[in-house]
Amino acid sequence: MPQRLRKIFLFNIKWHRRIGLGITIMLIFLAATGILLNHSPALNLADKHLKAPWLLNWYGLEHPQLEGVRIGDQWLSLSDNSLFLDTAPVATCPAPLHGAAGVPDMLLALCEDALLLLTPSGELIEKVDTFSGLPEGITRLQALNNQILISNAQQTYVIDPESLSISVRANIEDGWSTPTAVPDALFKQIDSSALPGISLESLILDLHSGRFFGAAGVWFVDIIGILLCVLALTGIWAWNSRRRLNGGGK
Amino acid sequence: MRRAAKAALLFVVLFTVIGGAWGKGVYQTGPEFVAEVFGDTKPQADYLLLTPGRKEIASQIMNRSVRGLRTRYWHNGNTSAWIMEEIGKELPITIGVVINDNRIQQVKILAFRESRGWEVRYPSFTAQYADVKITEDFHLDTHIDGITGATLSVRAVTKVAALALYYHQQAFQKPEE
Repeated sequence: MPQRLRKIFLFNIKWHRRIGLGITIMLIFLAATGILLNHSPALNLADKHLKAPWLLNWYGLEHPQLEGVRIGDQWLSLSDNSLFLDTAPVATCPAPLHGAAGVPDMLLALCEDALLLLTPSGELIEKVDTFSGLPEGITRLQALNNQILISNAQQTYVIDPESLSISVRANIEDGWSTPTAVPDALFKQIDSSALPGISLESLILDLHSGRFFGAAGVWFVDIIGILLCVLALTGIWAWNSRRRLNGGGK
Repeated sequence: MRRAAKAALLFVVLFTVIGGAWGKGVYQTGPEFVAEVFGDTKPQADYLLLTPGRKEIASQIMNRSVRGLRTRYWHNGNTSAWIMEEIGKELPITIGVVINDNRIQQVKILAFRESRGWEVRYPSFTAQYADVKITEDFHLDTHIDGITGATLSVRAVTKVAALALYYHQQAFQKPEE
């Protein structure tokens, strides 16, 4: 009996060591990511957004593009329905951004079926949409001699931002603002939390669960979990067998 | 029995899909709503300045932060019309509210964009708001019965009704207290 027990003991300890060595790196990785997730609120992991193009591609997200209009030395730009004045998000505005303009004491942004009036510092004054009298299909905006001109496919209008009275005027074809890509230097400074991205917390959680690598990753982590259980059981069995072989436990 | 269950299931699915598609949409434009409210008398378009004090109370009523420095309305005599948006579940509902002498005269859903909860557009529901006033702690003085499956939409309409009453109170009371 002790001979048979010794053989089983050696077989058990051999596989206990193999499994232990085999999953060591994964165990350290799971422990490290688990500890990070446990302290995510203190480390503000949810607020750290990653924007690397390869990562966004991996998650099936488009790399954020920021298109805007330069007004004096400021930029009004739009990404993912967030309107930015230079680097700060100032309002939500339904994409796309058709144009932007500035008159004394006011900035204007024309989004889909909505004209946003802002103070020069970016505070929202009012959103004017078709329900408050904006004509349908307005896609062009410009400031001409301190007048605000808007236009749809049929007509050009002058809009008074105070009374919101709208009057028809002769059509013009030139001078309409056109959004362009914002300079790289500005894009890099923009408050990244308002742009689409992957939070560091989501990334670590997906790595911890294996989801980052799809269904295969989840199965792999499941197998590591099962092997960890086997490791625990073989460990207990080895400890108990050693006691019996040494004549202990009496 | 199985056939009956299948038919019932099909009916439920069709009712949900077709009902959702029918319910969504713009029912009335803003200018049409204002014209309907004031009829032949031409209303004056005006705006209420949202001072920090007003914004604080508006945010309390809406249970979210209210943005903007002013809000647009139309008025004639003691009657005012307000068009506001509030998100039901994910998309904004456009709601028209008419106030007369600090009481709601009419609530009308002008646009509903989500696939569920559109039952709030029915006059049988909006009629509950008629003659409702706002209390000193900015709640409606009458209980509004909910609609099963449209809880968030009902909540949004009720908040907008309370906000319109508060704004009307402020717009028709000068100077600001």
